[in-house]
Amino acid sequence: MDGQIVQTKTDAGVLRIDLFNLIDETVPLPEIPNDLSRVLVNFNRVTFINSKGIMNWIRWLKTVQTKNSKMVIELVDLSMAYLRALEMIPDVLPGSAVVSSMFYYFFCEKCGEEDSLLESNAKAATVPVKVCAKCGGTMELEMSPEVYKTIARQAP
Amino acid sequence: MNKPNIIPKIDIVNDLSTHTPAIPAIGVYTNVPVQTIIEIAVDHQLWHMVQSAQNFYEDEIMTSELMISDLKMFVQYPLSSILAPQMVSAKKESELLAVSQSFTMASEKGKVLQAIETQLWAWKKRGSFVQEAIMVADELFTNAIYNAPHVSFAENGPGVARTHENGNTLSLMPARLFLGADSSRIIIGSEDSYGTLNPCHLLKRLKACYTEGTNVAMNWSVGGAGLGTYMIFRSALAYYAGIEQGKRTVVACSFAQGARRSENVRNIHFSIDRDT
Repeated sequence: MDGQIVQTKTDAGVLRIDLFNLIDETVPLPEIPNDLSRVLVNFNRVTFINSKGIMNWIRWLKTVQTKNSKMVIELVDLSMAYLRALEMIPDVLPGSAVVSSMFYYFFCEKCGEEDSLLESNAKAATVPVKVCAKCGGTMELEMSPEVYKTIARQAP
Repeated sequence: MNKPNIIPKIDIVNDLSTHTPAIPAIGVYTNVPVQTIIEIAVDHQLWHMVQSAQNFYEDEIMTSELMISDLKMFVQYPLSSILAPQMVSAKKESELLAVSQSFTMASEKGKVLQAIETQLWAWKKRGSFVQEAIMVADELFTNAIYNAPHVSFAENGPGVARTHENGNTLSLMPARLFLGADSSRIIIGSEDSYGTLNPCHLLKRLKACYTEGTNVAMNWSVGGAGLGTYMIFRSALAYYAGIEQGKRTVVACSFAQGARRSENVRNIHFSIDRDT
């Protein structure tokens, strides 16, 4: 499956970038005009990021911020691939970025059921508790809670 | 297989001063931070490190002993060397092997990774593990295409840029990715026909990721080999690299069946044969 990027510019100086499938050496991240006030990057459909993709992403962020330090970078619907990258490489989330929403992923040790929950980011966020729809057991969070603490610090 | 010689075990907390780099040994420890493990591996050239408080301790020790005493056996039969080090053979290797995919070009990555992913889903692995395993397979594939053929053993180079031209037009000797498992562990590995992986360089880059932060990897020019290895290392239970210098490199990672990543320990096993 190839990586895809869809850009949608609004009249209000906001550029929305929807990333699809994968971020790797084959996916060039787009040039960003200097005159934007906000860039919104949606990770909802990103299922895979490799080390080269991470390097490209971090370099892209630095380029964008260097060109226009006042431009707001907003990250939306952080998916498992992004969260896993963040867990290992903190620079994936620059301190100046805003995170609006992210997924929580759950696994039931009892019956093997998997589930996810898309939540808005809030500074005082607590990790939600999820009951397994299949067996009624309490599901376990897939990612480290520390990742969500980091993200909560960058709520809008 | 040859009966392994008695390989010294070094308690890295109490007996590290007794280790002489010229004599291969196995460092053993309990509850030592991963960063410390890597620092000791680099600073003391102790290339086999096994945590004692884990389910696979005996097997991991035997694998290290095998790699030190009979590296050819390991590179020939990596799956059985890891999963069944007491019975390494072509027959056992075949029993443990689930996927073996050869390749010579970057454009084959999708096909190779798909074969591995399909098998992982067939084994009903959880989604988060499949994603992680594919990440590891991707990094191994990348190293085989962009690093192994383009670096020299002596130089600490990062390989070539990950471009279409470099990945698809240069003439390469075949490499392969493999996947195998038993009831307790899953192995993902790669084999290339170059034997250029230098454990000293790789471990130093790994150490830098831990001690200086992963942002240092961003400065490693075009390639970035090091960041990928760090990601593999963070994901796996153990990392194995057997190098027949100038001839062949086998890298493999093990994952405990059903274990959450936070439960993983990090063992390392590096052996090199410079006479091939």
